Amino acid sequence: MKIKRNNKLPWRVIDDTVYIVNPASSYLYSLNPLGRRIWDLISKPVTLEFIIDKLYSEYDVDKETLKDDIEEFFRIMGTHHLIAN
Amino acid sequence: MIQEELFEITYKKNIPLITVFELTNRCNLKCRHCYLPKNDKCSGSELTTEEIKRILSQLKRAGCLHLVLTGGEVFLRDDILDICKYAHKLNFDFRIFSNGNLITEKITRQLAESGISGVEISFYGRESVHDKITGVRGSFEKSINAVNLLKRYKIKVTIKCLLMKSNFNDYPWLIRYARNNGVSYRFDPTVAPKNNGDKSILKHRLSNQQLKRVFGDKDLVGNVSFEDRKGGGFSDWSNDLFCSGGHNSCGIDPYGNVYPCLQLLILLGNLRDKTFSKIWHPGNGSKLTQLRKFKQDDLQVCNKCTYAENCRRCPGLALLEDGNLLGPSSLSCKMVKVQCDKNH
Repeated sequence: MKIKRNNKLPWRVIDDTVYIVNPASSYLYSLNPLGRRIWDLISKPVTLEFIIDKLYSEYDVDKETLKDDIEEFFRIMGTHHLIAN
Repeated sequence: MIQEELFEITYKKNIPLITVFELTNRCNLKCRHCYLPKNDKCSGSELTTEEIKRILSQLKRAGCLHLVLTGGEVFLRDDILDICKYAHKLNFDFRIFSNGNLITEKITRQLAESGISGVEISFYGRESVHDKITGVRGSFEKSINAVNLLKRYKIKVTIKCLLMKSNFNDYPWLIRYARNNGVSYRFDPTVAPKNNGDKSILKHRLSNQQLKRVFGDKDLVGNVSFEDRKGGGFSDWSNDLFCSGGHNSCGIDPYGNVYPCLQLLILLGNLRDKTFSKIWHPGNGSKLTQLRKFKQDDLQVCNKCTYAENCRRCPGLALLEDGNLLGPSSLSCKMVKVQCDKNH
């Protein structure tokens, strides 16, 4: 399964933070620099494995912890319709 | 909280988070309170589609997220849907201000597909009152049709109403209409002078007694704005705030002129001559740099006022109506006094 950001949503990178608007709910979301990196990675459809491998090569982190964190991140993103599968 | 954080960052870094973009001064209605002079001797022709797209790209690069497309009446432009699609492609959170009279089912369908965040339709009251204010018989019915169409295509609708002497008695009806139809509503008691300084329309402003009722009506709490034509309005997150215009809000007119906001008519430059970035980040000594240096402390008269804490002074109105950017705005003075004294 591939993951892609929801390109229908308005968003901007401001001061190294991604701000995403959900016009339906008027909610404003923010992603920190790591979230921004993931947001960049999912500009095109990619697999979860690709993202984990990419971040594992860029950050000094335990791979299992990274996998758990990324899965949780996408679970939340999915709940708020910020990604499109 | 995120909104406040974003507002503060963009304010401090002068990122134009909110832009109000007038696409045309042409209009199909003849509203008695309109702030655009009738014989608008404009500086040249309206921006073309390609010029607008170029400007939108520049705004995106500058960090603009929230975009308001307004007029005049934007649906008089044949390219409005094309502009909307482009705004969506650039991931703007964009909405349209309109009188709704030209909105057809075909347009609504395309608007829904364009990713628009919402449409705000101007209303003034029941049919007879509305049509009298707009000067066009049948305009009320067309606006109602527009609301119904937009709702059917699940586009967020807000009805907004300028409160004046002539429609004051109709505002409870408008609230009922909005509630019965599941749309948001917003009222604004700020009748501003025309952009050329003509104050003849100020006679439409509410009386003190009417303002008192507005501020005391619980149905209006949270639904009354004071600077409808401002990009960002005042924020109260800091006492050291002069105004967001020129910091994180910006106004652009149909001819490419850039202002701190469409209420604060200090011309900063023209987008046919310079890029947005060059206009928004000028060198030292420019009008904008000077404006950005102003702080609450510079408001010498207002700072001594006992109502200062609650006042929502608009510097644009102070300049346009009273001739002093740093002086009191007579309308703001009147409103804050009525608001604070309403229980006495």
